[in-house]
Amino acid sequence: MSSEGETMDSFFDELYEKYHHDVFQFLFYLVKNRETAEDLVQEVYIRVLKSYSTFKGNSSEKTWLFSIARNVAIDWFRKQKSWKQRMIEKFEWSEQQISDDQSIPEEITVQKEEIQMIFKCLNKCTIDQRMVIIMRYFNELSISETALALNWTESKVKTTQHRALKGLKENMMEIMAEEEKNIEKV
Amino acid sequence: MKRSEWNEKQLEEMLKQLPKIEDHRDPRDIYHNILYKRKAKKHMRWILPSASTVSVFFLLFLLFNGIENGSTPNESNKGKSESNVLTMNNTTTDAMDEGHLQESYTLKDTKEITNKEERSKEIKDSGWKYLAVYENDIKSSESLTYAVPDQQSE
Repeated sequence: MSSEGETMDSFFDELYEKYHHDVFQFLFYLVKNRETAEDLVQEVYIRVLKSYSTFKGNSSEKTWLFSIARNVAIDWFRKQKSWKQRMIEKFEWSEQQISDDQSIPEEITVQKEEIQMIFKCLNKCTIDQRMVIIMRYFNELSISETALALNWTESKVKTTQHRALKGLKENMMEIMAEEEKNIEKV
Repeated sequence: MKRSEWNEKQLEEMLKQLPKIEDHRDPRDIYHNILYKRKAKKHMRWILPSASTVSVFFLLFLLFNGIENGSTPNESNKGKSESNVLTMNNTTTDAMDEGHLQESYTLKDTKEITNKEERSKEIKDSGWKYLAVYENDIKSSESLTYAVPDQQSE
């Protein structure tokens, strides 16, 4: 029992050392909330430690970890969605408030205006698109690594990435246009 | 404005500029949280099946108890309905003399008495030997048919 505890202990240390910040980063930009990301990253470890004996090294440790993180996040979104829908049904008037109530963390508010805008526009991407963007640009995974982590084909990663960038660009243009209009009015 | 002419490369650059968000928690705290949650989960895994087993036994207990208790009233119900059928036969069968009919009326009246034991006693007390009429019994006598409308029938 104690030896199992020790191996788990060292395994955790190793994972934490190598990947914690990457996984946390991924989850944070996906759910856009620090507390939720903290909870989810723990859930990732729980699942990893539960199945590390079955990990056969078919894929790299990194993509394996990311694929678990992705599953944890998707489960969370599913739960969230049903919870949100229930609440919306109850208080339909508060629908707008819920979607507007996404606080922007301090790290972002001190950035340039463009960076803040791109952070907001990420909200408008689908979850799949967001995952690809985060993996590719923040975690700096290669296309093949992203494909492994998401369990997609490489071409699906490429098209999703392309669409995500296109969507981001359009969203940012829209916001720009609105801002310019507002400036003209003043 | 130049900004409206972003291309993919620029967008990619901007995405890469998004700040790194750090988890400020101590790794030991995270590890303890994980261990705690794992334990909690194990508890949950143990609680649910045992709770369902207990409830199954409880339901089985209720079911068999119900069957044992229920057997007595069921039997007496059966007896009651049999005697009912007999009286109905009496009132409607052919060839019944006036006196018998009268008696069957009084018998019918006793229907109002809800207590079955009292009822069965009354049937015994009425001195009836036969509760049904057979062909042999009425061979020698003349038979008349009376229609007795039953108010309770639908």
